[in-house]
Amino acid sequence: MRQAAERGGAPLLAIDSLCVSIRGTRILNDVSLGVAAGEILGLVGGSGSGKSMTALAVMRLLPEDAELSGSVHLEDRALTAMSEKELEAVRGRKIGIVFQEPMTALNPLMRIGDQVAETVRLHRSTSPRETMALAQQALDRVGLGGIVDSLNRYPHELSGGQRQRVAIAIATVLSPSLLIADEPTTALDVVAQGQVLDLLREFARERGMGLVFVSHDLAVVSQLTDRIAVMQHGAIVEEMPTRELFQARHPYTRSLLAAARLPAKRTRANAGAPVTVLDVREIVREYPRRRRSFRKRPPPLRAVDRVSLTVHAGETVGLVGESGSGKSSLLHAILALEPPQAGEVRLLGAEFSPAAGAASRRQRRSIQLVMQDPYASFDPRWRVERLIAEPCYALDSPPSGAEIRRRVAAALEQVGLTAADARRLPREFSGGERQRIAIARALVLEPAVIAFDEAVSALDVLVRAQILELLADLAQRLRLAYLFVSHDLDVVRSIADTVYVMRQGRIVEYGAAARVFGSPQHEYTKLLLAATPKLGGAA
Amino acid sequence: MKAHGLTLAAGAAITALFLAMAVVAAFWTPYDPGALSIIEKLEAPSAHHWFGTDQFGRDVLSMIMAGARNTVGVALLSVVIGFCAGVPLGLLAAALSGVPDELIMRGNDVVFAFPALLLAILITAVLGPGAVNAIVAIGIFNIPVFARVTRAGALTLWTREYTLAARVAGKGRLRISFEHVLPNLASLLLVQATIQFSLGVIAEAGLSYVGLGAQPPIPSWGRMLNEAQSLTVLAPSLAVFPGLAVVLLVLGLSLLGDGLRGRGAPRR
Repeated sequence: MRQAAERGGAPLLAIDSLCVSIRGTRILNDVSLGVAAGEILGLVGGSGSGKSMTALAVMRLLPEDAELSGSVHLEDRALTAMSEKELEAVRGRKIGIVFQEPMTALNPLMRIGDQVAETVRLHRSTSPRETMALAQQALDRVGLGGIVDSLNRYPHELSGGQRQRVAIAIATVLSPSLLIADEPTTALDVVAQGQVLDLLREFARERGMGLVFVSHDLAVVSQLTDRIAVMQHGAIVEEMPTRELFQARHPYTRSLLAAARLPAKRTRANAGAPVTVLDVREIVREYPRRRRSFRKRPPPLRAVDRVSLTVHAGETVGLVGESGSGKSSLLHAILALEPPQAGEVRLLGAEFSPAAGAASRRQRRSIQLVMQDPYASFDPRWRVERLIAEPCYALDSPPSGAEIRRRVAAALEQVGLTAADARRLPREFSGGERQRIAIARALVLEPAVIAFDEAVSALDVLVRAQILELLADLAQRLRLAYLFVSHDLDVVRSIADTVYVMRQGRIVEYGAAARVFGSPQHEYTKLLLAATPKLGGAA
Repeated sequence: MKAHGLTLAAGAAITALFLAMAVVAAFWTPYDPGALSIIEKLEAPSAHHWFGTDQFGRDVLSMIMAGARNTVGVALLSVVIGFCAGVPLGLLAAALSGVPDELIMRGNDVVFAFPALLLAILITAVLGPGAVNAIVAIGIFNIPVFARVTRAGALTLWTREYTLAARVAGKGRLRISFEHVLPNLASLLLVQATIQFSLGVIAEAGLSYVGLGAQPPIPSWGRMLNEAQSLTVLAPSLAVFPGLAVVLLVLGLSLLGDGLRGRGAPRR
């Protein structure tokens, strides 16, 4: 608030000494912030830092048993002193909010036109025709005007990026003075992210709307915002104009910067001829499409179109692609979970397919998987020891209890946890720790290759850096090969020796990582690299 | 929320009361429920006969207790039949999908197409009246209910990534169904079992009312209601006690089911 006053503009949003406690635990501690009209404020911090809580507190959307002290003023009106009814008039009209998950932000049973119109109807008494006209305008404004009959579409007909734009349309249809965006692009791939960020910037600049952008991704924040406030443990530790981000002095900010700057991988000299551990040849995966009329069946959807790739011992192969590019289908074929319609997979020289039987099961020892969601990858009722030991099913004879304990303990130590953790339940661990458990599960059989399906995408920037360091260390010590699938180019650049770029089921470019990132040949690769937010770019 | 705790406690208490009554009745009742004593017929509730006597002089309380044993037994066994046949079918349908799924679900639809009570009457009319056939009839109707609920729950769980992890370990879908899917469906199935139990109580009472359930001399609440029908002018209390018994047991089971459902909130 002080800084905005210094600048001379009246503060649009003024948060003063805001403290929030939930059941005795301090969540927010003396938070003071200000946003001027037309200004973009970035609120950054790791998970648990209180940034989302701050955003929710502004709108008074906290859980019922939360205690709040301090004040929040919007255009000189005290939001903290308002009754629920007065707040309802403010929410949607004066303040808009966009949340993180585009998949669950929209009601799947309502057309998107109706969902935008709902906000209009709540605050204004316009005729139905005017309301729908406003809704159409809002949808056009967010770039969805090109969709035929956009008002009557359902959310499931849209992609994640499009759904997020609808969420922005809902938040901005009544031209609120303030827009709060809580990690709006975290669940989107790089291209969709770029488009949503451009849109947000336009709204702030052209309409004089204040924007509070909450994120843990410093690269995105540094490109979009005018000022940055860094939060840790529920308090603001540092605040500065974005252009001064690199001169930040607080140790937490510096650690966020260090974690965000992932260094490109240094290629090691290969000792001896490379041994091929995984050889994927001309894989085709098709899905039958629904028959719409009684006549001929439409051609099947080709999710993977003659993809080949090779992984050598000790090598990390990165597979880059947007959502919908066919990465997961390819991975399922490589892991012999679904039979490909054409092509073959050779693991350590032998054919690997989903045929049942002991031979196929034995092969599974050589390839393991680490998945994206640390919360859904474990059976919530199983203890860590049983979870990590599950791949031992692929061994010829079930190992004894002592053998299992030994293997599990060894795996846990390798990922930086302790043997005592084996007796606990997964819900007692944080997201980062759960990913470590997932990695331990992949290590227990000492495989030749580990596949990673967006394994760090759900982690915040600090934890992500730690996990990537762990993976690099393990790869070197245990001479593991990795197949690392991700949509995040920075992550792939920091870990991969070889990169394959996938688009709509095909590999459009591949080669040594340094070459592909340094001098990309294909248009699509260039597009992806251009869309990736870089730390240090000014808005 | 506190309300859930109260619901669960109340439901559990009432259900436990009836279960205890059923168990005790196997060994002891105040009077022999079949003992006729025309002298004492149609007595109002008193210190001797807490619930009074019926038109044959039988002690109503003893009949209620023995009837509890019959009702609880029939309803429980019918739930067991439905569970043991329905749950594996549902797991199979969700795990295999495709043709087996279609077959199982269409078979379910065939059973669902018949009104429950009518189906039970049909079966007992064909096989003959009696407690055992009542169990079979009600049990058959429970099978598609459990199959459908299990399948729906299992389909949700199959989208969770831990089933993928198990497949990467080389486990087959059937094994995954029993190791991962079924245990995580436990609370859902328990609630459903409670619901089916209460429906079984009503179904048994209905069957006995029309004379197709347990036959004399085994007492049953439904038959007591039927016999009390013609005597409401002379002895209104005769209809009250069996009716109250059915209502209270079903209420207790419903509260228990609600309370359990509230308790089974997912913890991440």
